[in-house]
Amino acid sequence: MRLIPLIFLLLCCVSAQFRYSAGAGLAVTFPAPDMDEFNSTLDDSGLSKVSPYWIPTSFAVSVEAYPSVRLGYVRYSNGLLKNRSSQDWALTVSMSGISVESFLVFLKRFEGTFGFELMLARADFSQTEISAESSPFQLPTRTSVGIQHRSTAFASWLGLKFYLNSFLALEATMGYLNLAFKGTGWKSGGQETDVRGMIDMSRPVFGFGIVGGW
Amino acid sequence: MLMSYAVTSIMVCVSAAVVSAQTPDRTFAPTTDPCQHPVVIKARTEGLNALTFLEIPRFVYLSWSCQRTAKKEGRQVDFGDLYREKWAENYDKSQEISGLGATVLTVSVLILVYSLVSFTP
Repeated sequence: MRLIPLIFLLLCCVSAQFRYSAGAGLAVTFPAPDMDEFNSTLDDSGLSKVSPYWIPTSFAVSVEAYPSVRLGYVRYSNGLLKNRSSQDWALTVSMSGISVESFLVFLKRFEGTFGFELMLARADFSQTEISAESSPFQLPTRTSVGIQHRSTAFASWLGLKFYLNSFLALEATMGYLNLAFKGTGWKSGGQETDVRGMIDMSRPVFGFGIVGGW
Repeated sequence: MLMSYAVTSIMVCVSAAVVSAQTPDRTFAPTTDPCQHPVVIKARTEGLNALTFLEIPRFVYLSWSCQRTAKKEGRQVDFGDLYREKWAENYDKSQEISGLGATVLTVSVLILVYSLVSFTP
């Protein structure tokens, strides 16, 4: 008897699939990315190690470009949950690119999604809020300095979407992210630096979020 | 010089008169009744899926405005049937996967399975 309302909720009424949609959520890789080599470089430089866990916020917009196929733009960034080191240094890994997904509906409120994403990734290890003075006049100002690394990322995933109503849905995904920042290639201001440290983020990734659409 | 100035002035006046005499485009004709807006009429006759991306927010606002106006006048307006038609149409279409969709599904699942199988922590 207690299951009847749940069954009714699952099978009743709403049968909505979005032609245009936008969503936001969180993702996490498990196990954590391999940052041992990068942390070793930080240790040698007198900085504390950064946490290897990468928990980005995600943002995506998509449009149904073809029956059963959506094209979209996706962005991941841990700008809100940076991996912090000492002396205000922090590591931010962000990536953005295009996504292609196919979908299939079942049981009125559920939608299975399958897709892949091709993205450009950027790792930024920087120290913000550095005080400086201009010359002449010694006017105070604040600036940031750091090293950056770029790479390409590829992710494939499958997911499940549950429509709460005609405008809102909850989504959970499970996939695999292929991304590695090589040991060399860290740059500052466009110039190659002597910093060495590989970051291997090729891991299974789990995500969940909320999607709104029409 | 005076002649050219006079001719130019006459041409400007005639052009202004011709432009202002044209029948205004029905799409941009001002209307005080949101229920009779062309976007709302288009949604009722052709369905919500016929609305363009830019017309969707206009329809959402106009439908809310129409319901508010109707309530003040003591009548009832319901757009629920339009939404139910849209959902049913989209749901029927989405129950079958297209050829390109099946390709995307196959490619993504194959890549995912291969990546997970070859992953060593």
